[in-house]
Amino acid sequence: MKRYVVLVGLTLMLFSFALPVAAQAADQKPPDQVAMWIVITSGFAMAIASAMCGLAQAKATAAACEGLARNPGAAPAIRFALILALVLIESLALYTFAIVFLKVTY
Amino acid sequence: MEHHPTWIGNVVNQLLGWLVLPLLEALGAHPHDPARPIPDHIATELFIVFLCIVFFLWFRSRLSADNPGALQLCFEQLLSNDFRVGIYDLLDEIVGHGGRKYLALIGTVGLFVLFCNVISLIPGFVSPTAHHTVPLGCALAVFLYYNYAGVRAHGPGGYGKHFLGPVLPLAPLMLPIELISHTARLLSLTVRLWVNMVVSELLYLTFLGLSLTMLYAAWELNKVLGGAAAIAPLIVPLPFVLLHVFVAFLQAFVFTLLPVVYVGGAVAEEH
Repeated sequence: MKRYVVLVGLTLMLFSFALPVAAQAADQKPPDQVAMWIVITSGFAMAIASAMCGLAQAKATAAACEGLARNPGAAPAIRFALILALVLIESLALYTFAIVFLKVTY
Repeated sequence: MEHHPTWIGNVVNQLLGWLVLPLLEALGAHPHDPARPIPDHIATELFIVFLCIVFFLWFRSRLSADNPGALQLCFEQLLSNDFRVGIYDLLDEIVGHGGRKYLALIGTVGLFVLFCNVISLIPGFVSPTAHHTVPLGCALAVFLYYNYAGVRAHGPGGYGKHFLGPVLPLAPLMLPIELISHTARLLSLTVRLWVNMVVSELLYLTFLGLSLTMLYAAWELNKVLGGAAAIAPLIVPLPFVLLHVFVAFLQAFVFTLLPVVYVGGAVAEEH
């Protein structure tokens, strides 16, 4: 488990070093063929992100409801954990949307 | 997105433009339009700050412990309420003992974000938080503050140990991960607020556009039907205004909650 975390971390670092290259590429306008694919893949990316985000949020909410039904006394703690989790899950879909928003130019 | 110039932008530019333009030129920045050196979102932001200062100075003189007014009771609900989601409640629950001294910056940022979010409900205003630099500024303030709080609580060496993980042999692996996750907090705070505000504006615009298209189509088809369909652009976008209100409050709450969590993580004692 820890090894995967490290691998992901190193990949992220690689990406952060590759950023100047990406920034250079973003300055020029993509050719029409590429722009078309950007639009198509953006739609699919947003759909996949929303679907998985919805699934994850549903799981979190279901678990929180169960917890609340079993132990209503713990409501503040559960509500806090639920909101925090929902926000963190939601931000993943929002990253996708931000990329779509920035990349689709018309 | 292209915005039309707002009246508040015009007013602030006329008041402060002559002062800001030479300053910007001296710093080497050249505004796009020399006649309007202050962008609209900055103008709205300044307006909110000015309004907050005036309002809270006036409000402060009216506070009383013996005979609280209705407004004071409302604002006390922001600090502590029955749902345990007030700022004091969050600080007590997450930071624990001595958490209330972090109220000043966290409460300020939370209230500022809240006012920035809801000001677009007033016609003629655009939320400053729908422009990416404003959330970034708030996130930077929070980022610097919680690191400062951590350094003040543990000293530089003690706070640096937080980044090295639980055991020393793992430190070379944990350090890059911790550094990345801490800088990613900046990104996630910024993008979350900015995209949420942009999306709620876009949703409203999209459904307004859809109902207008419907209205035009109906008008082409039949004048009576078109007259009846004229009500659609008035009603259809309404739920999205309500959604915007909900999202505005929720995001302001989140922008208060996450700094509390970060401060709590930074000042927490080692176990």
